[in-house]
Amino acid sequence: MSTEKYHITSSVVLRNKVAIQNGSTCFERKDGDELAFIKELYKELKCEYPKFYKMDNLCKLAFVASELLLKDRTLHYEKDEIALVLSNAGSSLDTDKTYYHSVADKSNYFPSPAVFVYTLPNIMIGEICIRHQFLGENAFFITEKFDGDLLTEYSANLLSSGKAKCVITGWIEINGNNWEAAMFLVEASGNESLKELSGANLDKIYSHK
Amino acid sequence: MINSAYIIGENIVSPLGFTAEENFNNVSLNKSGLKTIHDTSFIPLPFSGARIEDDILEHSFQQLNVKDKFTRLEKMMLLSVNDAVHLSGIDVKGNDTLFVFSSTKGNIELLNSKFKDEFDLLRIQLWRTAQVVTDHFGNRNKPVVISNACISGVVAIIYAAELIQQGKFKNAVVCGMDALTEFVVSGFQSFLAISSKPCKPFDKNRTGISLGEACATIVLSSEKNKNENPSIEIIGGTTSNDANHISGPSRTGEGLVKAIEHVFSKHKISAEEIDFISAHGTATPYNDEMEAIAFSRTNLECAPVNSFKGYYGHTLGAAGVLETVLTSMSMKNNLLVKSLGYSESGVSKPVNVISGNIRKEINTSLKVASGFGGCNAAMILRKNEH
Repeated sequence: MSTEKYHITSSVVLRNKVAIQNGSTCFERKDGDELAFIKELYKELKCEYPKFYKMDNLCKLAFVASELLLKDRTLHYEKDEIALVLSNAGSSLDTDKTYYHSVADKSNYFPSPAVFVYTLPNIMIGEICIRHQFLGENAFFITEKFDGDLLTEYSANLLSSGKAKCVITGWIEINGNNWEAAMFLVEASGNESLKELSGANLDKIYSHK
Repeated sequence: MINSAYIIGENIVSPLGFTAEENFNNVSLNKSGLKTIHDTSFIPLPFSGARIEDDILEHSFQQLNVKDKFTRLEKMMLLSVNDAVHLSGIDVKGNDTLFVFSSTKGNIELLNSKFKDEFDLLRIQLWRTAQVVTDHFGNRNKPVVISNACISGVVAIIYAAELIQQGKFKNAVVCGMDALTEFVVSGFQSFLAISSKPCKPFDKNRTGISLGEACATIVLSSEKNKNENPSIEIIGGTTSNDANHISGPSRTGEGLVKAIEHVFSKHKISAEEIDFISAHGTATPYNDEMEAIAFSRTNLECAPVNSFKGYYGHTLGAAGVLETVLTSMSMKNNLLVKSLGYSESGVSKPVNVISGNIRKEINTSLKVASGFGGCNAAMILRKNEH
């Protein structure tokens, strides 16, 4: 599916401890694990948002991806015109396992509300909305793999129906040591030099090796 | 928009029955599925919850004559989809039919090591659960899964209705499901959000939620069911975020107000047209207060409102679909159903909570939902005479 009117005005891919912004590497680390990489990128971006440290790993990853995506960008829209449409394969399974461990072991039974609250994938959307006071449409999809066509179709529909004027869409997944974030800013734009919104274009940016 | 989206088949699998009709009959009789559960495999203390009896589920499932192995939740799904599809008369294998699922935790039970020899751990992933069920029915389109906390079911219906309105599919099978598990019961208990007695939405003495389990299915189509008059149409819906707190609703109701205002303005509907509101009504002190403020701010103080949570408890990702089926049944039967557990208002704004069943023509209804992550949804249903 392709639409003529909408463009991918900014993109971010985080994978294998490399951050790619609009097609170019902007930050990378050779040493340390994925979490250390995300924390260093957080510091590099000078976010100054102490709540970051309370988030689970999936939200940390989503948060840093959104900070990099929106860095140096002023969105000239009403807060309720900005939509968030995210996706992944594993939902919140990374934190689900941590939480379940705290109840499965009856000799050490300690269910924690601070962990339980992160056992929903759309909490990522909530955290980003709180950070920027975004009040618009929300949707979280579970797909086996990154699905550029689904995200394109849903985003284009939000824009063409007038439900949103700007969509932040993407994929945030943690599967063991494989951490992956791809986030896109999608807007109606007259700038023809920008990549148009299409499943193929989202797939291409996502697959950047 | 080139087509309309009509509900042409519906089902509920719950402690109150295995068909939409059986469920609605029980709800009309003000019977609740909530019971005190003494089972330490959920939490150490007794709690009020709604659970389908295993032997009843097994007995019904046997009648499907299915050979493959399915989880308890998937058995609920197969029963629910099978019945809804049968009532609708659609060709479920058709290329013009799409499956859409909504759930928060799906097969989360499989984290328990007792299942490790029975099912591949991949089965815990919602896309996989959806694929297994879609494959069972022989549909070849890739199913879509929405997991957006407690608004999941409403988001799934809005999404499916829009695809039909745009002519991208003729039919959609929307299935919402969540099971009562140790995972969710212990989690809500850790928040101290669970009431020890059956929940009392909007009531002065409400102390928290009751949890439940259900699978509900709606078949939407651009073609009305010829055997049914009137038909219920999904007009459309919107979502919003509070941008306030990840586990508590906004104190001002701002997010829900936005969702309601947007759906009203988009579909040119005024508050006076709303004959019935199916509220989220979880019976936590904050949720019900937030909803009352939002209804007041959108001039809906006089509209009759109920919460179905007193009948089923909170069924999370199933709730939006479950409560839409009950709203549709209420509209077809012109029956406003009592909001179970309510006797005296416990919210700061006037709300017209239905305190006993009322026979009344219901033409237009509003379904709302709110959830963790600060999300809200509002959706309009309308009766359509042939």
